[in-house]
Amino acid sequence: MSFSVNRNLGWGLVALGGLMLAALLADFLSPYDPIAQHRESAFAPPARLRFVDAEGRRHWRPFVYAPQTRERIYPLRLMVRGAPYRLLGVISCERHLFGVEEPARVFLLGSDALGRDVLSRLLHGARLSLTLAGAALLISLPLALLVGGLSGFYGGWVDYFCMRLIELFLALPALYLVIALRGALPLSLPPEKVFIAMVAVLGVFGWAGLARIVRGATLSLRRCEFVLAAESLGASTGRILFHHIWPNLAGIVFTQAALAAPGFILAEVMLSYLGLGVTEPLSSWGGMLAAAGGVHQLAAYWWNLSPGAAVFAANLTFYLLAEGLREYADPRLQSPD
Amino acid sequence: MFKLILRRVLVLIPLLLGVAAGAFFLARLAPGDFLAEMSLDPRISVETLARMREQYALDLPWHTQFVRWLGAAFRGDFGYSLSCHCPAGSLLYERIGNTAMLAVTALALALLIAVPPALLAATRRSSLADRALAVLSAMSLSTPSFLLALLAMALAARTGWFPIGGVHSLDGASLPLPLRLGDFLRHLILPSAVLALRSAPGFYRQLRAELIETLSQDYVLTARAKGLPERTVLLKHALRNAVNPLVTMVGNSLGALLSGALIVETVMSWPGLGSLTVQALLGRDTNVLVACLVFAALMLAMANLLADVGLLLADPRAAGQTDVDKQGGVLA
Repeated sequence: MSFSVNRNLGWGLVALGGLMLAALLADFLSPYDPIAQHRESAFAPPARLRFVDAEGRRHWRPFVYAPQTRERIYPLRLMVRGAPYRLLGVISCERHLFGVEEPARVFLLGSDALGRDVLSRLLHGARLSLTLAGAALLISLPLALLVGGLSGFYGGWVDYFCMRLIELFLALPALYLVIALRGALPLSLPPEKVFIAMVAVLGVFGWAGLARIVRGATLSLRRCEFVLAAESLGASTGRILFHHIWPNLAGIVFTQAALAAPGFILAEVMLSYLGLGVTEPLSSWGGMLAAAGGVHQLAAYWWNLSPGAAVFAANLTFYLLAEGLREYADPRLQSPD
Repeated sequence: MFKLILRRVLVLIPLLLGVAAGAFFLARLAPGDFLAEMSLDPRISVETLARMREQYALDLPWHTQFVRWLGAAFRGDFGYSLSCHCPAGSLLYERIGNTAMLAVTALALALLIAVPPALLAATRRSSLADRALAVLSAMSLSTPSFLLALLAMALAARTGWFPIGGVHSLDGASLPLPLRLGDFLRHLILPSAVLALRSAPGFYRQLRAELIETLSQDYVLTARAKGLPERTVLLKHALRNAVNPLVTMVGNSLGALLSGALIVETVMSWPGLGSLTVQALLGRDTNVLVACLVFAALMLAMANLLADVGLLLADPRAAGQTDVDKQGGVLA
């Protein structure tokens, strides 16, 4: 067995690390407060970083102009002072990675209808989406391992009961299930409760599909000789599950988790898009897409579609991870193509 | 085969009952109902509200309501839509047709998109085209349907080639039949194309892998050795045998297709089951919501049944295998 990390897995891990770093350091990386409104520059197109000024002089440092004037150049500076925040939630800090002096603004991805920086909102939305997907996985994976594991291990009526329950959850197309689950909670929730509600909805939404796969794998492992040997030596159910079955499921489970993550992100985006998830002024990818407005606004101010590109990047990351993990867990799959 | 269908239909009944009970329970779990909003209206008296609550049986516990609802549902009565002031059933039937139309068109389009490149990639492995298609399919697998739908809308708005949302033009009802059909098709193109682009890469990858597997089989070698033209070998021998797993895959992807349809319908305002479900949720229209969820489950079950029958027709050997649990834990 080869322990070298394959190309897909390598790139997937790098991309995931990048996404997580961007989400973790969102405050530092974003030049502005995600909810600060710059009403005078609503729908500003993505900032053009210039090197040559109006008089034709070259500058070594990229710069921008203040709106409606060309009198002075505002070079892009690193580690500038800006809106105060708490880095990683603890260290109080007011330095941002980059920025320009007032009154000029640098909206690298443009601004939205209220003049908020799209890049800053995107980074904070990434924090929300990734945290939610992670939390939902932390709920649905143990649930799936437990139900699927017990179902596959015991068989009989336990299996029958668990399978009928799983089928009930899989009877609805995934997003209809999300809607059904969301329908059990009040439509509008205060911001501090929305997060918990979303984690609950997404966690319950994802477990059934995973549980069925865990059950199938457990069922085939159950008949393996090392499990039968452990059983005949008198090992308890818990010990067999913990020491013999679940460790062997690691490859499948990680692959399935990577396959499931885009589903969680999509569900979050859909709920926020419908106004049933995280709502304004907090930033979420779905909320940003909804606020991007009607079709004509979208066609004119295309940079407001950037949350869609962010979802694309996240999906691609998890796709690479899933492919890589599948190859890693089963090196026989590695083929020249 | 009839035995199989009969058994599947019988299994469906408890499943649908379970979905209905679950949906009913979940919908009643949330605090407040449609009438709670009306209670804020000063023009409606407390007595009227109490009478309405009694009339719609909203004062009973959820299981009693469920039994009553079930009895009525068996007679085709899915309750009254409080926000539309009409029976919930009448809202549903038209919407289901629209969603089915969208899904079927998208499925056909997706197969049309997926099959020729799969043939190309499988016969010219590791060629430039194969590599390009691998990248392309990974990219389009990662593109969220949200983005595609919004881009399609932006395209329609920019160019005016396609209508923006809906199933009919404003004057659609007054057109003669052939024109009305054309009008419908013009509205159908963009949503079904968006939905098809979501499913196509999965089909492409599956079919390519299967074709590569089949092309290495001995009977393909025999066919080539007999001197059959390459086209016959590819289409009659290889493709015919590679199609069966594809049928299974199509069957497994139907849930994802309906899920995707929900997004496409919501974003592109296609009046289907998905957008009705969302409306019912936002409007706290419990009867419509429950009916929508039950019909979504029914649609998925019927589609799965059709896929199994399709597989049986394509490959009679599958008769013993259809009861084996499908291992496709696809979330969305």
